[in-house]
Amino acid sequence: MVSASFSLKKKFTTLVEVKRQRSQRLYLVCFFLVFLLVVFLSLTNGAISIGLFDFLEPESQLQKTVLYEIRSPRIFLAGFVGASLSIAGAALQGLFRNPLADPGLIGVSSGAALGAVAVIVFGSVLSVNESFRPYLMPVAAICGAIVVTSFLYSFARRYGEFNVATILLLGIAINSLATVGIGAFQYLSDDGELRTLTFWMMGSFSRSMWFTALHTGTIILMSCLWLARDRRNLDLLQLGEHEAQHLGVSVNHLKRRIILCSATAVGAGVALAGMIGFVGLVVPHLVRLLGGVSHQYVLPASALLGASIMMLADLVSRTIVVPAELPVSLVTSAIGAPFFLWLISRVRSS
Amino acid sequence: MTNPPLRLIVQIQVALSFLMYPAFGCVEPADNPSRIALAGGSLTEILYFLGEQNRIVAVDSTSNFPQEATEFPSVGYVRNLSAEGLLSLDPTLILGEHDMGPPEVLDQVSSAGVQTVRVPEEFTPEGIVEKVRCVIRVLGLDENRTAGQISTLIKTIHTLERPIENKGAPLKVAFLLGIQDSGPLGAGTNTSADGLLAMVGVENAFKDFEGWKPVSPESMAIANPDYIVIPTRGAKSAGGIDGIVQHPVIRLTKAGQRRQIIIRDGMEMLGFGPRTLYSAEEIAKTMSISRISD
Amino acid sequence: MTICVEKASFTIKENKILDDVSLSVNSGELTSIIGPNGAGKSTLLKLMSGDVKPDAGKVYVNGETIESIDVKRLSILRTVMSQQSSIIFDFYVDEILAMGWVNGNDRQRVDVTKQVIEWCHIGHLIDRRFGTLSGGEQRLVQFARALLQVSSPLGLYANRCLLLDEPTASLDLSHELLVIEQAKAMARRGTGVMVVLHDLNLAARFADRIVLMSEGSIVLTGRPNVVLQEDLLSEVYGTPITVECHKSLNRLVVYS
Repeated sequence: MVSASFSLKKKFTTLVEVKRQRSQRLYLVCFFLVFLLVVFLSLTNGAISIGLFDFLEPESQLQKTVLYEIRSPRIFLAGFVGASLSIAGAALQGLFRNPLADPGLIGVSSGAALGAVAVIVFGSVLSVNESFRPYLMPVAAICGAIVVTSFLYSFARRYGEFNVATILLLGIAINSLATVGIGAFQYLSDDGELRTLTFWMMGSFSRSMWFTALHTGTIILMSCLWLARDRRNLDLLQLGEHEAQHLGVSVNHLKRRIILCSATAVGAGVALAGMIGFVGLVVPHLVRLLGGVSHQYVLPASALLGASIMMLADLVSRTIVVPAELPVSLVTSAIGAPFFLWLISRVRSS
Repeated sequence: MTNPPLRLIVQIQVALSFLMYPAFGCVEPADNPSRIALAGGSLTEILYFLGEQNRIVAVDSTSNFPQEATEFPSVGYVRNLSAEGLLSLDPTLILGEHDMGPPEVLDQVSSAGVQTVRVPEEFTPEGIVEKVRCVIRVLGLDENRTAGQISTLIKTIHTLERPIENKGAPLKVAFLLGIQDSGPLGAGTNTSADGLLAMVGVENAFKDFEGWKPVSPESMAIANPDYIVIPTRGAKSAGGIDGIVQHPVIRLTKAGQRRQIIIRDGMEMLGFGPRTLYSAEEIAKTMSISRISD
Repeated sequence: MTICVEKASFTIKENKILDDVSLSVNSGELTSIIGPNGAGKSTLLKLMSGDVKPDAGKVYVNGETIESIDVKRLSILRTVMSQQSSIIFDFYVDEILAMGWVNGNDRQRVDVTKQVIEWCHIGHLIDRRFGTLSGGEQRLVQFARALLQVSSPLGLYANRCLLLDEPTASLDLSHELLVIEQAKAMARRGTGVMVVLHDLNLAARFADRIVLMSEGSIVLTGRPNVVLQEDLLSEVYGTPITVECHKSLNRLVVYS
């Protein structure tokens, strides 16, 4: 009798795993279909109307230029930035073992912004090789993001693990520090730089061009792939740092890799598109709610859903007040902020 | 340009043109100025001034004058234009102020075959006239037909030439963009407002710094302006004229104590279109009248 | 297979936590560390698992110093179950178990997982979320995960060590027995097992060797009937303790 019940359960163990993996795969396929749908919608919608299937063969030269030179790089960049913010969000949440670790909330984005703003204001006086100039802003933004993330982590190490409240307080502190820095740069900037800065800060994909989008895309792709290699290690880290070490994870190296990769991904995106909030927080959460928490699933799913949501937000931002456009961060915050409130109430009650 | 004497002639012409139009040259006629998207309030104003408003297909968010101009589709803020938005209006020319942008968007628009032209800007009365001339040239208008409009502008400039004095000393005026909690945002040198004050014929109270900067109560007290000029929007958010004169930073100045606050539309004063000349004239009149009654 | 601590000392802010301690975990033996709170039991275990480095002295694993072994290989050589740890994200129990599989292929993992589930009687928990389990059930799952680690790859029990820090905390009587019996079974398969225990009766009943610690030092090491002396325990714990040989059970019982 006993052995009979055991044999039943024996079957059950493998079944549980297979069933979950199947459902996660199903979710990934769904997210991919959503992604394709959003790409299609983004390509075919905009201030200039292009017929449903005309994007394969544009009628006029104008449509062609709009499709290939204006819309496509923009959609490409929006997708990559959305994916990078979401993957970085998921990875940082895993690293800090805290569901509220969003690149924007904890100050990684504003660190990147500080670096980028420094270049907007001082870039013209720096004597650098002309061929390097386009990379100046991404490099500065990435450095800013890395500084903030490492600071956060060393702070966490010294004073024990973060609880939800601590990380938010730290985020407030870092964000206001960065604001002080940005304010100082604003003071030093002239009229034109000031206005460039203000609009850059609001976040937009309107400046996307293939040249910069491809570079940024490559940086983001590489750092995200590098992050994805650590999916199992990120899972193990959830048992605790020492526990992960016991299971063969070189935790210090892992942390360094995650900090470097997620800061690079976020910084590269911020440099081109400005500060875009809440995507890194909302997307991994939705993904976890739907299919489970293992990073094997969370990372690719976040990338797909993040890219879709960002492209959708950009679509809204460029079609809602035609022929002008809204800053895309306005759209993401409008969706993200209520979600964030709901999330806090959920975290508090559990 | 391989012919040396020809080159010399061109150079002389360039030099002469600088004498005639100080500090900048001007742009060439546009290929096809029939459908124009405008980026910059002063340019909208100039097109209406010249009676060429039927060419306009879109304006930007700084184009608030004349009232009917606001009925055109808006392409957003002059520095934050949208490439596809612009193209969707099928313009043949995008005519913008010197600071229109972002540059990437303008590149994309040009690559779609739409010409973009920037009108140079200088914060002087001559700069305004030059701007109008520039637009005339870009539109390919007959200079004789527009001579009347130009001469009205030049006449106005002549009335502005005499500086306003207060018992022998130049009148000191501060231009504030607004008064936030952190203190008023004042116009230093190299700003449009500095140009306006020069045009009025008064001394900028904040000539010791450059650009727009928050002004501390102390530096306000030291500057001690006779007048304060503030745009309508800034004045409204500061609580109107009563709010301004009661503000701790303003209260101690002559302007605050005598309620010598001038409130006018911001784009009118700082847009550097034809209206700015009239605006300067009006401001000058207000100040001279109250100086006499002083 | 042995983990060997040699003349190790460990201080935190001038407080000597461990003072000149030497001890080894031997293959095929269940060693139990006992002693009052603050005696340094957990720290000694952390030293053996490589979590902390001694200020003086050395820790060897199979004759190599523990620092010279990379974490991956170390994870195969020794398994650690720490005291309470919280998991923020809501993993399923079977995912937690799978994390213990550090070496070997997936088919073996399924077989060993089935085995471990049977050993620990957690078949009914397997499709639950870890966060919904009771404290005791969570401990049990963590213990099962440790067993999986010590069993990967399949069947090489003899070359490993299993270090358990109070594995029986917050477990009920029957599960307490279950855990310690499984630990003992591991020792019989050739694994070196080291358990920190608070329950002296469990130590008396299952340990092959008992290490009594007090104030950072080892007081006495030996078989249960050697270490469990009334006078010694009373002195170390600072409270009168009685040790008797229970006639019908035929083993030592300890009570205060």
